[in-house]
Amino acid sequence: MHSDLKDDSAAPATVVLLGQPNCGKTTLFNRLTGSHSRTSNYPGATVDFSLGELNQEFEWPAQVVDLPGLASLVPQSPDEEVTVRSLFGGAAHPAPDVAVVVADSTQLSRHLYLALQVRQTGIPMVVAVTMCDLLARRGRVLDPARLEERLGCPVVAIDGRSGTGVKELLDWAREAARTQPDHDRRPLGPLTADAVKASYAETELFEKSCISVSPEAAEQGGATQDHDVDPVTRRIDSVLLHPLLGLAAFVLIMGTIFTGIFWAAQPVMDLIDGLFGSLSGLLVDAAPESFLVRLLGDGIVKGAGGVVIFLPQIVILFFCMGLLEDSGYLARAAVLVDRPLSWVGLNGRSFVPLLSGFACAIPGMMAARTIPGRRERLLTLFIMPLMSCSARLPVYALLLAFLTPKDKPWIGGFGLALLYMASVTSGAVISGLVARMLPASSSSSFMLELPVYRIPQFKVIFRSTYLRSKHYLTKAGVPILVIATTLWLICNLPLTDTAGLDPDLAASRRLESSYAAMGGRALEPLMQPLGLDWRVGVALIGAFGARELFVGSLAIIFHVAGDDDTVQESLLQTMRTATLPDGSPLFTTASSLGLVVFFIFAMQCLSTAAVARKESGGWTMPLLQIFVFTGMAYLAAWFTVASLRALGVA
Amino acid sequence: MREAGPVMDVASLAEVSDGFHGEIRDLRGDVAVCSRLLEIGFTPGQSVRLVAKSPFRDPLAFSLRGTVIALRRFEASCILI
Repeated sequence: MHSDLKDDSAAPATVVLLGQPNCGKTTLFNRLTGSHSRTSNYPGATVDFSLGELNQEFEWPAQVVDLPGLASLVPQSPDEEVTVRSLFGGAAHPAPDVAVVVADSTQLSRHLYLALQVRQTGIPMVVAVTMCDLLARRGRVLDPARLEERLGCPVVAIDGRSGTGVKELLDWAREAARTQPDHDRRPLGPLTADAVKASYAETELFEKSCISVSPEAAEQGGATQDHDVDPVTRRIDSVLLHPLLGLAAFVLIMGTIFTGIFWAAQPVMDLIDGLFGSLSGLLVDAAPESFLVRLLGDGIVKGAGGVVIFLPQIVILFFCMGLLEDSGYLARAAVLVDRPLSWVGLNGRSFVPLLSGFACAIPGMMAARTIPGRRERLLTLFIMPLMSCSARLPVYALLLAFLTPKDKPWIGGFGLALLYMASVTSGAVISGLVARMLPASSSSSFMLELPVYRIPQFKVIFRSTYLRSKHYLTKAGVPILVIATTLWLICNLPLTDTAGLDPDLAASRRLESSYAAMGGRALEPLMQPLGLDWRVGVALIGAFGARELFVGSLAIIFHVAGDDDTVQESLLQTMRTATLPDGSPLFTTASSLGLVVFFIFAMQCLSTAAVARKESGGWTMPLLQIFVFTGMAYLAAWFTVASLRALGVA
Repeated sequence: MREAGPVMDVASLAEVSDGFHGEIRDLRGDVAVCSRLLEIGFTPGQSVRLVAKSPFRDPLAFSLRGTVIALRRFEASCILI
């Protein structure tokens, strides 16, 4: 049990940072912990706590926990419940020795509401007041000593960006952990409306008595109105939330990010592709030909390449998101698209995750954690695989190149644009249908603070980009690697004697006699209605590791040889001459279009399924996605082929 | 401020027009929504101002207590003025 005076020399203390969203908590956390921190994901829930050791300059061996932003200690969602419960022990971190409540001085009455709740729990606390520079911009000044007197706990004005007041805050926190009485910690019970009103009456009094017009502003003839918004923010918002200009700016900003993701990442992705290709080649060439060498060089190294290749896109994506988030625009973007998204059962906050899904469904699903309503979050996760991820691009590139006549090159670009529209439309339609099938729910809600615009802090953004990218590599990378390796094994086992054969022929021979080929032959009856045969079936099985593997598998099974640069050209040649057993061409306009349609809908990425299981907390979601989307893909492909043939297109 | 004249029985923040500035009278409707609105500061007696309507006229953005909070029309309709 705790005694009134605790010895802080033994185990390191735990300091939690508590506050409303946008209160400046994360800036303070970065100041306190420097570069050493990690995020910990609480088991069973999607709450991220950031944990870090206190910097040595503060001379206190303590652990700092940055909790997700909270409006109240009375939880209203499962995620909030996890956060609140962690204050009373039994979480990924020990129960706090002291809570630092971070409060924005420009909206003191709202932010002190949380401080009053923390005071009621009996947890030792200090209050850090932030954004005093913004308060000064409104011609006002805060008196921390008076607030301290009223609140009955230490109050320190800090600036997390410059570090002003942080050392003093820490000294008080340490003192509070040591001396504030702490026997009787208890979670808050359900609140009555009267209790909330009484708390606000109290915080309004604090605000009135502790904030006054600054001498400078008084000289210039008074401050701005009490409840006025930050003047700079108001001017920016008159454009960015304007019915016409706002939408135009939105399209411009998102379009820039979107093209940036593909355009800027491409050279780096080619580099990574080449690097892993030559590494794999080096391994295979250096050692005598054996199954293990191929498993390592061809299976595992190329599988790892498949994880790393998306890193450039993901880093750019996370960086842009960080930029928008830290500047304050992300909340406006959510407001602008909330209405259209709500028509199909989604929420304004679904927007960013879905946009990320165009790079890769996995970070998109991880970003969906910020959606507060469970139903809307699950719906967002559900349609994520329909977003046209970049792994489909190599497949589309091959098939569109096949379909595009040499004299009409515009067909390829036009087709690609159509495919992206098909992706968005199918996502919207499916989401709308599923939302109407689910029981009605009143939990759909959208209450979002639009924070003051601030100049982004690049240090903070670089750090969050680094942490999120690392999270992708460790959390998503491992399943991708395992699945890619397993699929490689399926495509290369059982062992076949290929001694003396030329390497390309040997590869085809192995694939032809593999389990994947057996599966492909078993799929033959399904492939026939699409005008395709078992060889395409094998490539489709390979694509379950990652969609872009479709192209490579197709090249192997059709004995296509050549350098990487010429593979597509030779593959296209081979595709033009490949025939079905009855001698008719295999890849026709109809069957290739059918394949394209299949790739629009099919949930083919087992790594995404693994992440969907984790994020939705069960197998229902990924199984539904695999069966519904892949079934839908098959039917749509069949329909395409059948109707084209009925129209006389072979 | 609200116009003088025949007092509308239930006017809510969902129906206010551009430039509205007034006081919250009461909260009414879905219990969970009302309690969350109260907790984020939409308390009776508090003065609010409509600062923006999104292009689809929903959500609406209100300023109060030194900040701006966007609400869907549905939530705003629980706030009587």
